[in-house]
Amino acid sequence: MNTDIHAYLGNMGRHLRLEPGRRSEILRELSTHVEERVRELRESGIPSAEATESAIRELGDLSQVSREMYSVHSTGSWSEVLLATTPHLLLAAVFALHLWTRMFWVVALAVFAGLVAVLAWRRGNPKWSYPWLGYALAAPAVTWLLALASLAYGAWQSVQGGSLPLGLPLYLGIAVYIPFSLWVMMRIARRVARQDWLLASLAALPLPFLGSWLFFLQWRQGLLIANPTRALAADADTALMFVALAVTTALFLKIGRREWRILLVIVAAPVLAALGGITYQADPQSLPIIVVTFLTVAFLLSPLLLGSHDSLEEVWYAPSSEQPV
Amino acid sequence: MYRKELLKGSTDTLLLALLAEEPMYGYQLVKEMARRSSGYFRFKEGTLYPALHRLVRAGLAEAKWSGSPSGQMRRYYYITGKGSKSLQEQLDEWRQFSRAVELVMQPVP
Repeated sequence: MNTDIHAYLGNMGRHLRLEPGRRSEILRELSTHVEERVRELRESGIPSAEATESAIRELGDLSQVSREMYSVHSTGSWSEVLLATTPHLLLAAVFALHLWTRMFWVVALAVFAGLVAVLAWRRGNPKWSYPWLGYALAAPAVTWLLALASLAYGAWQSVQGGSLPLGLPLYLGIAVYIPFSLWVMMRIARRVARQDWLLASLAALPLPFLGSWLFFLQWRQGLLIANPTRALAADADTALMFVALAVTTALFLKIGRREWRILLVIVAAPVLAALGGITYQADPQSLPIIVVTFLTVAFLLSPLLLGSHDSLEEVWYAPSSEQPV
Repeated sequence: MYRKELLKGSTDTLLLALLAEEPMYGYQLVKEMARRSSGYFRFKEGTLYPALHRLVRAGLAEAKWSGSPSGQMRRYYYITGKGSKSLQEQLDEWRQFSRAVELVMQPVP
């Protein structure tokens, strides 16, 4: 292929934030179009360089074509919306029925989300699968935080001159587990973010709200241990928040325009996390709410840093989802 | 500008009408459209390919890669049963619309 055309379409490929197979197929189709146009122009007597320049110019505004293609392929169907919102609605049911205090249901839901995420991953990561991936990663993320807290507590106890609350081999195991699990989670997050950082944010959407719930209700107020009945009283509000997350996800999938999606993620999710804080706090203070809102925005935009630019070869040679016949 | 708006509103119908005759690939559709309209309709790729992909997503057309007689692989578009039905409805609507426009536009005797 003409190197100018290759470079031009490669540049377009970097703007096409779609699945690698879909992206390479679109580029392949456009390249056959441009090559045929160049051939015709050359046959009519136009020099090669001019013919290429003309064919590329006719292809039109690169960002407009990318935007239109993104809009066509990223908009979810209603069945995709249903599949994507199911994990949020399941969580809403878990809270509405007060099932989160029963370990069996929590573990069963985490395992189910993990299975769905793995199966979807093997089928090329359809867009409905990202919320499932988010919940699948929530369990290891919480385990990681607990491991970190246990290690910090053990170290503090040791510094204070006391004995370790748990055995040394267990602490060594935790010390190995922390960087290893972080490495695995970062690898998954990076892979998703490289495809599209916005989809990584969609996967991470419930995590700030779950964090807000844990922080305000369990940690700051200690309701789980001190007053479990009052903790359960907040379940109706929590269930409603998960329904709101489902609505946000549905809107995200039905909005084709990328700029509206970004706005939705950086506005709706922090609002929900902050609302959770306001709802759960017995003693309303504005500073923790502001901190949670700020952290949520930073967390949801963080995949931007993970999504590095693809090389030209990666843009072009990703496997195509539709094989030639 | 007015022509551009008209074309925007009729793109799907025009594409389905051409595909109803035979499967075609993108560049062939551009040329065929210009030839039949004596150059009136000139599709930009930025309009054509998103429109074709939208038809496929809506189930009105299918796309398959296949080799041309010259051996080059191209992505051919085929109209589906749903697409044929939709085209018929759009054509009926268009005929009624254009008849009404003509009736309004023609000078009163």
